[in-house]
Amino acid sequence: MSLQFRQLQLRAVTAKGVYGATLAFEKGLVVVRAGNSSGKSTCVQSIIYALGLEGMISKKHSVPLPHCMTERLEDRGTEIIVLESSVLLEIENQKGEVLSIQRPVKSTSRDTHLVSTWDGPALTSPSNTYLQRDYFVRYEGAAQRERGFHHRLASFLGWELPDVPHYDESTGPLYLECIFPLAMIEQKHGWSGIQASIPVHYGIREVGKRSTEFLLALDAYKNSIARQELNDVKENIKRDWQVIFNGCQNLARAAGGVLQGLAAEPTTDWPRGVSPQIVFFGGVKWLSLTEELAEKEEQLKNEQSEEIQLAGEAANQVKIALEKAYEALRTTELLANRLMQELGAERAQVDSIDQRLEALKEDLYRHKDVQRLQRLGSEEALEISKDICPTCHQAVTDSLLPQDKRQTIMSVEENLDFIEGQLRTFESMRADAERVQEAKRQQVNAFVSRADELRTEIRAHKTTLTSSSRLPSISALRQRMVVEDRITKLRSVEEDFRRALEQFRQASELWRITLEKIRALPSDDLSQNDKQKLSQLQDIVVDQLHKYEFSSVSPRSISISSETYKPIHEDGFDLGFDLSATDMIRLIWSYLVGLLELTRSRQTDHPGFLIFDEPRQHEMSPTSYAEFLRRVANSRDHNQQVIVTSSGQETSIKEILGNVPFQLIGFPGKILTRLA
Amino acid sequence: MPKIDFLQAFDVRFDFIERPDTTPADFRPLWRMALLVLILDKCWGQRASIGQVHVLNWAIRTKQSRDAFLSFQKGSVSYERAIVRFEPSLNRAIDFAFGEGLIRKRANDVIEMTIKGRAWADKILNSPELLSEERGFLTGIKGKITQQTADAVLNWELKA
Repeated sequence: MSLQFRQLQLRAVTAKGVYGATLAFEKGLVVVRAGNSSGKSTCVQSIIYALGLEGMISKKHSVPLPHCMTERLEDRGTEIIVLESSVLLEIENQKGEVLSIQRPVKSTSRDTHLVSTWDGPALTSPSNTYLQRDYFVRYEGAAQRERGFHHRLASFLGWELPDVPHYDESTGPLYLECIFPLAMIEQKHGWSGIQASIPVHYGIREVGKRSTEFLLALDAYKNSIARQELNDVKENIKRDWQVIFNGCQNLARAAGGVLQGLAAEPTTDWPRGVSPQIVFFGGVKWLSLTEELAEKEEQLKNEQSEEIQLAGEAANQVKIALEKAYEALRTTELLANRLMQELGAERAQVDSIDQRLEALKEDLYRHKDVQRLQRLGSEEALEISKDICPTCHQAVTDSLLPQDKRQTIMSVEENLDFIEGQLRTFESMRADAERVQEAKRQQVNAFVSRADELRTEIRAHKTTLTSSSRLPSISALRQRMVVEDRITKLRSVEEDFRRALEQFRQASELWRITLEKIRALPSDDLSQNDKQKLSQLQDIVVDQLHKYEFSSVSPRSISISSETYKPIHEDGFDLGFDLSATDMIRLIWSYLVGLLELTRSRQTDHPGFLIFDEPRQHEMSPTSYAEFLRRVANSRDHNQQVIVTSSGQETSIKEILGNVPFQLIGFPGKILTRLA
Repeated sequence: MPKIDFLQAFDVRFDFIERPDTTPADFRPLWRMALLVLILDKCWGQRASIGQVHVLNWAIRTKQSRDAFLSFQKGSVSYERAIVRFEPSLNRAIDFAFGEGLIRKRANDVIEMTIKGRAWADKILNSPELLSEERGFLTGIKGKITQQTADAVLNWELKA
């Protein structure tokens, strides 16, 4: 990837003739030197404007250029009204292709959102043979649509803009305005921090991180997308599993049985050690589906082998059967009652666990407060935050309970771990209690349906005993029908359950594969290659900080965060607040130059140029500044370009750079001069 | 089966490591001092009697007491829920805060924030994530809290 600026032209048509400026840029370090308020920043702003990147200066759609381009310009003390104006820019990419861009600033005939381009060096060697096309910019779709200028610019740069997540849950392209603040520092906001002028109004999540990731061509983004997708797959399997599981439970419940050996959550443990089954309460013990089916079939065979007796003949047998049924009903109801009581106790257990969990969560959050207070307290120099008594200056334990020397109190960090451990324990206890409850509930259901069955049987027996003795025994008839029904039912349950188990097997396999894939991703999403890039970037940044006399903290203590890819201090504090103003500038230099230099040895998507609008901010020490200029001057050897504006003296710049080759562009007065 | 001589089996050196004790966060001096300055911030004139602080200290610390206090304020109370506990630990926190120079004592058992205390309170108030639950409760109480507010909670028995 590379982008090199070849020429910039400003044009302003007035009633008194055409005014303008032409700046031809070479490779390597380019210093645009002029006195204050003569138009150095105008050059940088014009480049930004020509590229349609003014979104990084302001979210407003007004033209970000000074009066001399939009309203009136000054020529030897007289003010002249600007009628029409535009900026022209010629750029070259890594393939040597040249693109010329013209964008109107003030125009009566053309919309300022319209950019004209020529596929060729229309500025440095004008010709009417170059293909000319118009594009729109700063409208929706400028980055995605064919006629969008940023779409064109991105493909000219060889960039494939990634789709990134937005805060509103949608995704969209990573806009060019978000990437360029890592290569261009404009003076208005650019110097207040790294990526200070990154626009946030597009609502892109973690926009700073995403842009750096893109510029460094890190694998991390791909990995995080892959992780996201795998997590979605996981969720889907969970849902599917739950559906099958619920189906099985309904199946068991409808057949008056209990589901055993299955969890509601997916597992990789398949086939299970104890195979899942549906069991039935057989009055004395629990029977498996196969046993239950065998028993019923046996029963049916026995019954079919006998003639159906008349009610009168069967009376004695029916009486005995009635007694038995009563007995079974009593037992079943007793067992059901006992289970209900146990269920009540389980519920109380869950309630008390919930209370404990709530208390633990409160303590956890309060301990986090203590941690934050300790940080605040250290600024206030509160002695108690160092476990020292503020009155007698002796050591105290970190507790408001009576002070006991023998007692040691956990540090806040230890205590946080402790609470988190407890939370985990109680949460698993809760899950366990829930499981027990569910199992008991199912058993209760099985007993209830068994009791219903028995009641119907009792009714049939009673009817037999009271009916005419010459009719066939209703008990016997009913019994046979019930058994036949039951067998049909059980067979269909058996079949459905077998199918469900096959679905579980497939889901479990998919679950295992998905988990393995997730495990294979690097835990912080950074590939080995990414880590090497970041560590090399860190070396380059720290090396520069040393040379630039960075002194707010030791340069050694600065590292590149694998979270945000920005420099952080080893103690984790935000570098934004704790640096002196000039050290912040040094950090910005080092980081941006670091990104540029990294491109020399690693494959990245960096455009290979940097623009700094007046890098000598605040009362920057001359030696630091000199070191910086010499450092960026070596960009020429690597086919890169660094454009710097300066109001310093020409002689002093020449002195700093000695015989290091660089290009000096100077203009004595205002940038716009009369052309014709 | 051979008999195991347990004394023999355990004939190894024993090491006892003292484990530090866990303590609830609200018994950490720093946390309670932060609560103290927040309470003073909520009191009329940024000062309060020791009794007043105790009432708010009790009210703020658990969900039950927060609910009890708020419903008491609205007048819809079952009084038996509003039993204020005087905690010795708060007295220690007050002592510590005094030692740190965050508060000073005035006549009649009244304490108030010092400039240092005020600055610390402002810092806490400027960090929205700090003690958010407790602050939410304090903001939920209308206006400033006076001695009368506290007395009402303390003396409901007498009036009832």
